[in-house]
Amino acid sequence: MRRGTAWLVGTGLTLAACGVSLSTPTGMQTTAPIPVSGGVGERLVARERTITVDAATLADAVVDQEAVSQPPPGTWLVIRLTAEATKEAVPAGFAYTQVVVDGRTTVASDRVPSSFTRVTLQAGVPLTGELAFQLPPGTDRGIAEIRFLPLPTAPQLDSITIVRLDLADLPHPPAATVEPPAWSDR
Amino acid sequence: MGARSRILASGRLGDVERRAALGPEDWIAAIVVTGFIGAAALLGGLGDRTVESVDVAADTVYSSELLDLTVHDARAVDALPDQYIEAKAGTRLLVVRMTITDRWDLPISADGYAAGVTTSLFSGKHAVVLPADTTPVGLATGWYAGTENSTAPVFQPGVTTEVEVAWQVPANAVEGDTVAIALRQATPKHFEVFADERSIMLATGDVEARFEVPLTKGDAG
Repeated sequence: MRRGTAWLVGTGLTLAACGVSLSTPTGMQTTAPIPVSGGVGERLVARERTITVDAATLADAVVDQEAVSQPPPGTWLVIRLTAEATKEAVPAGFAYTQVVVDGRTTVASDRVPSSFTRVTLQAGVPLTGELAFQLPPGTDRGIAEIRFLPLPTAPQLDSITIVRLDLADLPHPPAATVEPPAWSDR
Repeated sequence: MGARSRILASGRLGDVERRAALGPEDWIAAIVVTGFIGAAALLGGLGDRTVESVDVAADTVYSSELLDLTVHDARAVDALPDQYIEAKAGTRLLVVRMTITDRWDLPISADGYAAGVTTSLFSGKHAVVLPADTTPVGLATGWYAGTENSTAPVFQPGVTTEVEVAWQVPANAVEGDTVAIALRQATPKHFEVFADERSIMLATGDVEARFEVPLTKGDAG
């Protein structure tokens, strides 16, 4: 084989290998969770949990009905949701819920003891409660993507409930009250 | 003229000699590699990376790549009843009040797991904030300042949070009027566990800031 041909073939094979490498899905892509998406008020049925975000509020403070010491003032996104198990009892896992705004990920605050974080969901028994997220100060616009994860990380090949809302559209009272989860009247 | 030169001059190269003879591609590759290594050496890429530690006073904010840190004050006590901690014989509890702002785009747990990030901010091999001149005994305990909640704080992106952290340290390490707290360099490091590429830990490096803060002493917290 002539030298020029060898270079040409070698370069071609290298480029082809690069193409194969770049077009091969990563492990994360091949095992990515399956999104179940919607907006406020939509009943979203995932594999283990059915979730409806009923309302959302941006507030400067959170008042926890049962807390000994109140969480600090700040920019708080408080969502009210109704949830139940689809087939059998499962931990709600709402402590792992994330909100992504402008590329920043915030997890449900552990500073609001009454929030909907430590409950077990039963099939056919919807519960209503609140989750609070402390956002960077002054975050009052942009699309917030709420991701309900059953685990601390995105589950592999499992469904993940996603609710999107526009922060600019939310009411902005001085304070939002968080009450312990209770049976829903639905 | 040597044997090799005679063979080259005669143009009669055997397989071995042909392979041993350097062609222009070899020289180009050698020059490129040598140039690359030389440039890396000139830019300091082959030397040890050293970081100058900055001295920071109490109540002064220092911004690292990962977080803003202000260390306010410290106290040495024998027990913290609210946190159910008691110092062992020969040790005391060094309790430090500090304010932290997460500058990253993911939450950082003081000790545990949040949004795919595993961190132990105040304890262990990859501790980011720790006493500068002594080695703590066991694990640190952190909590939100002004609360009796003893769960490990989670620092949310862009949110400033005041916390207290207690380390158990040798008693002779907290005899002076001041105590030094170190902030180490920390870089997020992605790693794969069963194809979960979102797992992230913090890799720590040299001390980049040293906070000297007043130390008060008490019998119990």
